[in-house]
Amino acid sequence: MSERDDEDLMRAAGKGDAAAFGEIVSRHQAWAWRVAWRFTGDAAEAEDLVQDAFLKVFEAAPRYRAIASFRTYLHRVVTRRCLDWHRKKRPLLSDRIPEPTDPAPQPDAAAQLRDRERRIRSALDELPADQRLAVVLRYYEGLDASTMATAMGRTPKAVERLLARARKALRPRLQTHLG
Amino acid sequence: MRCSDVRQCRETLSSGGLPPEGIREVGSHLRTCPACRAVLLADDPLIGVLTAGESPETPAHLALRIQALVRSGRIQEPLPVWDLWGWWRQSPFPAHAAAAATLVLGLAAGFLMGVDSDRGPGPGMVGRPADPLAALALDALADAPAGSLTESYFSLARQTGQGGI
Repeated sequence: MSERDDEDLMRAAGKGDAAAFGEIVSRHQAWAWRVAWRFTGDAAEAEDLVQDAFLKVFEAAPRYRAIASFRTYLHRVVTRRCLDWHRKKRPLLSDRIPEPTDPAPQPDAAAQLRDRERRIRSALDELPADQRLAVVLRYYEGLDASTMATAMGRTPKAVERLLARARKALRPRLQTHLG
Repeated sequence: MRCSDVRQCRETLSSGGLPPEGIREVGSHLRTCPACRAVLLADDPLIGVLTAGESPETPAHLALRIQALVRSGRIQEPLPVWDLWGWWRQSPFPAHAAAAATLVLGLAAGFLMGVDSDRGPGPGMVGRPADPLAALALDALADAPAGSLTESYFSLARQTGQGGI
């Protein structure tokens, strides 16, 4: 038996087929989770955000039209939820990442990696939300400008400008930490 | 992944198009290879975010939690929606013509009824005094005894032609 495509599952979900919607969730939850976690830096917040995004998709299923691929549509829903979440909560990732208890140089390689991770997260957190989201979609998920533009409701040029501003802002910090 | 493979990915990393699995492999290489890190960071400092480590696995209960919410009905069950624009786009031309004709006929009928109501009462209605009993549907009071207050009121109303209203 051939696998049903996403659009077919969405049509079934629009008629109230919860099993079809469950299949959609199973297929796409990993992507949505990664983006939400990278954006928020908090597992519990990312879970709520992903749940909220999928429930929005389910509620909108009867109105869904397969103009573009379902994946593109989901990108848009998730990115919107991320930006909405940021507007409401204004999170600070660096607040949730514990500072190292010992400020002295850490010889341990694992500790150095943790420290680097914390610094990168802190640097990302200082970016405006749309720039941070652009960085997540491009550098962690590999989306091209056209797909990102659709997801973020902007033009490809505007997306590239966001990334250029993020590069400019992060260049000194990342080169200091990673060089 | 070897250094040469990683360095071949430079452009794709910056412009997009590398699948997430490939990006993760590059990230794990960069975390342990300062030489590649230096080369790639010189091209594009944002590639440095890849050294921040892996994201945690998707929580196992996440899909179940969402499906439970959908099945429990705690969110609004999707109902078929009357999508006028979607119907219009998908309908054939005869359906468009029929819808347009119905709309025009409805507007014309409404316009004509409006014109008719502006003309006022018909010729037979002009000058006839209003009967307060009929106007107010007070048939039960038609047998009011002569001289009673009710009968006096209706007499007065008929004389003034205002129906007591």
